[in-house]
Amino acid sequence: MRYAYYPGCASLGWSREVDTATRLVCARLGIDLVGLPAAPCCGAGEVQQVARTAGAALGALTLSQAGQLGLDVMTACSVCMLSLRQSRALLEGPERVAERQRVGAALAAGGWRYVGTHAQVTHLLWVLWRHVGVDGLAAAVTRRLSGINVAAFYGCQVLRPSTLNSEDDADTPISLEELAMACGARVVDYDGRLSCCGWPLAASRRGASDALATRAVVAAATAGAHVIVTPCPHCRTSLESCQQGTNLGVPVLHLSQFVGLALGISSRESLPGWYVANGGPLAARLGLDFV
Amino acid sequence: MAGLRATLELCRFDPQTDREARWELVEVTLPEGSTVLEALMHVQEHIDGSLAFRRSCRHGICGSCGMRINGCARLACNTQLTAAVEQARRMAAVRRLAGRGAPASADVAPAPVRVEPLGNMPVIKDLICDMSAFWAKLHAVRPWLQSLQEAPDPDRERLMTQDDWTTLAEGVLCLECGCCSSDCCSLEADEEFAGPAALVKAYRYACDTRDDQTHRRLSDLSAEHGLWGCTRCSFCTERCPKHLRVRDLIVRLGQLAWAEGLRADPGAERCGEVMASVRDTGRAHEFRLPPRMEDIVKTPARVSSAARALSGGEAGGDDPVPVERLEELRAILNAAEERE
Repeated sequence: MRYAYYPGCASLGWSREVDTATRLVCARLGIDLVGLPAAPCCGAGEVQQVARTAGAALGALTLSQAGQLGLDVMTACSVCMLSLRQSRALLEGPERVAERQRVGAALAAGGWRYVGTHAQVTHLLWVLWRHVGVDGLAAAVTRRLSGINVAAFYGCQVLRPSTLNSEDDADTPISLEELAMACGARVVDYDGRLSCCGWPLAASRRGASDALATRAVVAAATAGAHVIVTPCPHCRTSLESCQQGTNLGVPVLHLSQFVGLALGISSRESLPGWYVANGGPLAARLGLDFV
Repeated sequence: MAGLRATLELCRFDPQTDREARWELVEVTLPEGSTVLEALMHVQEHIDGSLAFRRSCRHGICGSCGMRINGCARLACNTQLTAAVEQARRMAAVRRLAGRGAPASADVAPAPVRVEPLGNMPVIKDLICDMSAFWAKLHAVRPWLQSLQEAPDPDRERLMTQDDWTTLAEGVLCLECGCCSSDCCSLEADEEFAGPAALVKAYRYACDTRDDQTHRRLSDLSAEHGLWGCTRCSFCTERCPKHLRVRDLIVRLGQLAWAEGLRADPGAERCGEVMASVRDTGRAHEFRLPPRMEDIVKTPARVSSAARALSGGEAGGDDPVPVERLEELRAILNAAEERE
């Protein structure tokens, strides 16, 4: 397996442990990642919200760079995945003639041409679940994470809209739970695994943002979760940061970090970002050093 | 009789006798091809006449029978009972994973189909919600054409081009059934949020070339509980029985507001910050965002990560390195801006 790897701005900035863990996990599983050093921000839904052509052009540029390499794009960020898929849908959809003209003209100004038609966009979650497979992952596990309860938190952009995200069932997904179980963990059932982490409102409506995040964390904690596992660095930050000043203390890990632990990657490499919620008890439960 | 057997788990609430809602199991046998609405009508006619729900047209036009089926807001008339039974079974299989160490996908025992009222609205009785706040929000966007200019020719209609019509057409299809609002995460966090249905309606009028109040409409929608309060969960798009891309229409409202210079809401400000940051480095640089965001990002361990970096332990701070060939990206963004 070989992918053009698109870490996204979060994983290159304040969530770098996600990038580290993703690279290490892929190396262990024989997934070859090729860098895209000139691929820009996906727009994060923010650029798209105010500028249609610029938003689509950002995705088109990344898709074209992957297209030149003849590779599909893999990211470990739900927001990046959806934004890139949305660009792709505009450029490949029913209005593609007009869209390609508009976006193509913008790309041409930078000396680029849209050649992203064959580049699909996927997420580490789907690569693990559909290509490595639950059995394949279980076979690669060297440290079973038994004795811990995982609350799988999907969030929004990896599932919805289902017209763009068809890998798992949007209303009854099972992929994250199956991967957590392949790592040897138990999963808990709780209300809120499909809801919003509040991140998109964090900068503008902190109260609403925190309310959404807290509701999910409380539900997970009530169901007996020792850790929340999510495929998105933004969900992770939002669910962690809402716990500041509370006694909730449920650590939140990105999928890459959690799988990394099961593949024997050291906690120092995989967990430097265990930062707000109380990671100590979880580390003790897993017999790991807490760094 | 061969037929379709199903167990319904109905949410019952009678304000005259109940302090809170209760769940009631009912077995039904219906002809193949029956809908959930037909199952409810069967219950009402043959089992328990006191079951209360709204319905009218029975074929997905009137939008009366919105309710949550297996936790998902849908039109009961537009939902096949077999599909609901299958979804309930799958949901139960996922729930049964809890606490187990191994997948339980072979475990496919049937589970009841849960039917309950729409979310984000007070319940009047059983499956009937009080939609008055929903209607008030629709009304607040002034869903009628407003034009202060005189008609170009008082004896003729105000004409629009096919392209103008196509732009707003999607917004016209809304049934006002409330399924989007039921499952909207923003409404859950802020009950004053305008909600997806009102925003779709607003989009339809903001785009209408016969209306000349676009700026005022967009200005009103840029207020505190307006379009910038959408948290992008896309449940609206997912739930719409007419398959409207509701979230996309909200995005287009944002683009229209931005183009009109309505950029004061902190949500719009953040979009502008990300845009500027992408132009500057090719990345969304979170530390340049408003202080509220720094609160989130500069948590204790982030500080310690920065401290580690400063002490030479790790390469770099928290700033993503700029993309390569930045000049090309800037040229693309400049060209895109001219074409917005």
